[in-house]
Amino acid sequence: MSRLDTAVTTVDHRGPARATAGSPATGSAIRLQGVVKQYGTGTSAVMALRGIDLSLARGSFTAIMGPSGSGKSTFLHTAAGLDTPTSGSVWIGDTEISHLRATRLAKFRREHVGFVFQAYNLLPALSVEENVTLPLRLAGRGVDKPWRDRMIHSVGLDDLRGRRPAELSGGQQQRVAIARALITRPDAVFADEPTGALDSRAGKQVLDLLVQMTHELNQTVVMVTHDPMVAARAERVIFLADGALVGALEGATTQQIVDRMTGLGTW
Amino acid sequence: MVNALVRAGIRQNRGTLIGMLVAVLTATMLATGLGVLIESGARGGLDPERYAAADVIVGGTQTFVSPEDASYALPERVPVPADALDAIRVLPDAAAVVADTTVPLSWGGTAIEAHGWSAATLTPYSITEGRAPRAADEVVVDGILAARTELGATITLGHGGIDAEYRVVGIAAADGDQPSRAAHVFVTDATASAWMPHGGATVVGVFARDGVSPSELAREIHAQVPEVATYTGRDRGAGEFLDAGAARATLVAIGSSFAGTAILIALFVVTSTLSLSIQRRRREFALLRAIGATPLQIHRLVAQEVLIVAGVGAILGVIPGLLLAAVMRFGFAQAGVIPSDFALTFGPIPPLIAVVAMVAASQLAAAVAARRSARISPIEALQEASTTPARVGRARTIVGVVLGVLGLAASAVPLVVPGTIAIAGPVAAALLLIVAVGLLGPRLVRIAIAVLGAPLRHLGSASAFLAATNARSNSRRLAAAIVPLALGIGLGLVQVGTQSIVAAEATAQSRAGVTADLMVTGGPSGLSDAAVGTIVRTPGVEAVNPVVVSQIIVSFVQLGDPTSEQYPIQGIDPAALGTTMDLGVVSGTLDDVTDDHTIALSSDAALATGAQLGDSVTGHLGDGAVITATVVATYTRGLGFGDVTMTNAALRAHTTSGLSDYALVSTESGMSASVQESLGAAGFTVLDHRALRAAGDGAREANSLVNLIALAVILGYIAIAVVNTLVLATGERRREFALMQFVGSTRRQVRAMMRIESLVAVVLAAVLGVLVAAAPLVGISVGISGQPLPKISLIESAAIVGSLSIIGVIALALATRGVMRSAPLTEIGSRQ
Repeated sequence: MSRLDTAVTTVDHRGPARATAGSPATGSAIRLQGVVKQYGTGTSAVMALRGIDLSLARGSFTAIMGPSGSGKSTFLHTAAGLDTPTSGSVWIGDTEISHLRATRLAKFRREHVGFVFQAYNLLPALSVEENVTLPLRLAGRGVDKPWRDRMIHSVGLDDLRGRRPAELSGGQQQRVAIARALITRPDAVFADEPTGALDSRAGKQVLDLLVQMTHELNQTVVMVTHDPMVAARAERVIFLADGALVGALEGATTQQIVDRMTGLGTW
Repeated sequence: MVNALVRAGIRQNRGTLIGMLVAVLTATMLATGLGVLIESGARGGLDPERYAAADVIVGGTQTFVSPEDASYALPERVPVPADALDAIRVLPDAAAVVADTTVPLSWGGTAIEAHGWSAATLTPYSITEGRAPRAADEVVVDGILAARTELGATITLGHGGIDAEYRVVGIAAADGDQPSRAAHVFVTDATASAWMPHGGATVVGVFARDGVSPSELAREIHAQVPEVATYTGRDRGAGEFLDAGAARATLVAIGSSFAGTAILIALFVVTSTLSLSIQRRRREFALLRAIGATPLQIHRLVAQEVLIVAGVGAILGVIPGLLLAAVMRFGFAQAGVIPSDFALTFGPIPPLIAVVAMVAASQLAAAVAARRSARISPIEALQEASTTPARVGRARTIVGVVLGVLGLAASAVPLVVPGTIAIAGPVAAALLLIVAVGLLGPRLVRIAIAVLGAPLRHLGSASAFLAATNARSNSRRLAAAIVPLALGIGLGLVQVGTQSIVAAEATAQSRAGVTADLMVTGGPSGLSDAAVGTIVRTPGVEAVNPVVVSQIIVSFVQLGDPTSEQYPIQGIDPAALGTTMDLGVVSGTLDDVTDDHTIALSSDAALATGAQLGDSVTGHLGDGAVITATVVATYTRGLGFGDVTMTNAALRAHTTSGLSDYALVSTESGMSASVQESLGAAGFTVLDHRALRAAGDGAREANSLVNLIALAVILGYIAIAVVNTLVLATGERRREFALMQFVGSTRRQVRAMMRIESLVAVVLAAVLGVLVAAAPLVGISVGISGQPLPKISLIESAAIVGSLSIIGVIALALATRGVMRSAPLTEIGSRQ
């Protein structure tokens, strides 16, 4: 895996933020600063994120790992603008999204963020092509046809562009989701267990595609996974435990990841 | 953007959306049907028969508009003033002016109508055999009657109970269609005028000069004599037939009284169907939100989808709606509240309003239903399981509780306010409680299931356990089926119960109040003064009390606002009252009712109008005439005899026929049988006094039939709605049923589970419905009869509860069967 863009990463969740608050470091696609997420109040309050400071460079491919309940999903949702942090700031590109209202956030997401979920990625009513261009439609933007065709071609669904999700295999459905995530040339792509619902062969194909396409397009990817083999495809693996960043590995092998995870307890 | 999405959404969710389509379609059908009735009340009617030749028909104004702008159809013919007739005669454009009065006669027990021969030109009738009448005892019969007699024969015609013999000198036939609503005879104009009760004509036919259109002539007449009503074209039927006017008023009354309830229920049904179908697609909307659809876009998406589906549904509902109106018309004609030949008006306005209203309502419902899907944070929705949330919004709960408390309070009004006036409280209460149940439905259902479910879960049967658990965890879905059933039951019970309470009390009053031995009528046409004289002179008769019944519109001031109320009024002979009628006088004396400036009021009417003994009351009698009279007595048996009582003579002067309806006769002791015999021999119809029906009984009966018909229509609608909701709600459970079969339950067990669920649903619906009806009915009963236990027919109540319960059970069984038709494997295998 080539590393054209050198990652500038802060993996010190207790240390002071390196960048000056209020002005994001240029070159970083995603930046979190002192992000806290708390659910509920009083005695029933649950701290899902306990102050995350993190900056991910443009074009980087990062996997987030951690045991169940470590805050992986919350981290992803908060970083992607699906959810707002209780305190702290989140930047995607040059925009601070942590204080945007729901509508502004939705508009921001459809222009600047791509998503690949574990399942239920597609609208059952729409064809492959319509699902891919859905974010553009929502934004009221015209469809750049050559770009759309390139996306569909890249995920290998040229012949299936008229099909509906119910007529596709699980792997094919995830490939449609990848194309849709990339159609807007977003600042960042977030993937939540993108291969979790697939058998290992289909999962590998989807993962290969994700790695290859985001690399070609110099896309920033954040992927949450519990599978060390999947995480090993990332340039960097960040470990989360109990709502806090607890370490990172660069270009780790599956075994290194397994060892690290085992050190973190049950997973 | 949204167009393609909307199209795709509709395509994909065909099953769910058909439910919505059916809901809107049936709601539009209901609204259109009621709308047509209302419009027909304003425009529909009968084609002219006997006045078919006249260009313009002039009559008195048959509507009374009260100071507060309420419009009443006057039940008696309003005479055309003599000077108005003169003014029309001198109009240059009037080529001929023919005055007519219809006199009711009886011929061998059947009612026929008599006219002066000059009025024959209005049809026109012409002689086919014989000649026109010239002498006072000569008569010409029409084609219908010609079959019963022949030229030269002598026939006996009765007027007001007095028979006379006439010689048939001619047979007449109309030039065009033969009038068929009544049989007619023609006598000399002199004989006809002698019968005219008030000396003047009631209808005037005017022929236009050549080159003048009927409407032009009508305008001229109206300009000359603004106080009369003119009719041209088809509308002349309204001038000819008084019952057309009454039918119009009835239709407006029925249409508007049911429109409110119907629209309310339709709104509930459309809203709940819609939110069900939107809930089923929460995940879809969540995904859209995640990839960047704004809440507004979700709203718009839902709104457009609903617009298309509801629009199609509403338009499809129009034709069935028109058919429904025709069916209801038939039913009302059978019930006798409108003439069987009364024609409906099928204008474009009622369907248009129905379509617009239903589309607007569904948009509103869509906005409400989409709110949760649009506002929810996308991850929350993505994580949320596919079960529906059981939460009921706080605002909804508060409004529901407030309305429920108000409803209970209003039910209790008769406990503190005496008289029938107080039943307005419980009647309003029923509506308030119904809305409250609609709003609180899911919450109430949850509470009820918590109570009812515990024993079910411990029954030991797997099906019962599952049913109880499902019901508890998904009370909202169950509520969608329970609430319309409960509303139907509650509504039906209140509607039917109110009527039977009033009718029972009225009958009890008239039974108790008639002290005479016999009741005498003069056949179809009534009793004249001469006939009453004959009865009085019959040996053995102690007293004769001739009674005429009509309507009066009393105007009064209530809480500072002018108000009017229409009451039944009876005209009696106070001198003969003692041994014939006991009205239950509480203050004053009926002996003081002597002329048209003195009246007696029932205590209910006195309370409602705020009139006390010695006060002056203003009212409009059946023919629109104003009377101002002093209250000289009050009495309790108003429901049985009529709320207003005045002298027979004074009231008869303001009725169409000028005849009494019946006479109550008391006999010297032991003479009852012989009097009955002599009166029978004299040609009177004599009945036992028990045959007397309470004042307004006929109207009440017709009214209750009408209510039953309208109720049947609404219950039918509810049935469709329930089936629809259940099919929708059950369709959602395909996977659940499939899964159950995979883990080892038999199809029978699944069906048994659903049967138990449906039983739980109908039991809860019945309980809720009865509760909704109980408080208002007790209140009404206390107000009307003073009894806390309402006198309602158990059979009718059981029929209402039973029919809706059966509908519920059958609907759920059908829905379950439909859902399980496909093999479990395809269900589980199918992707979301």
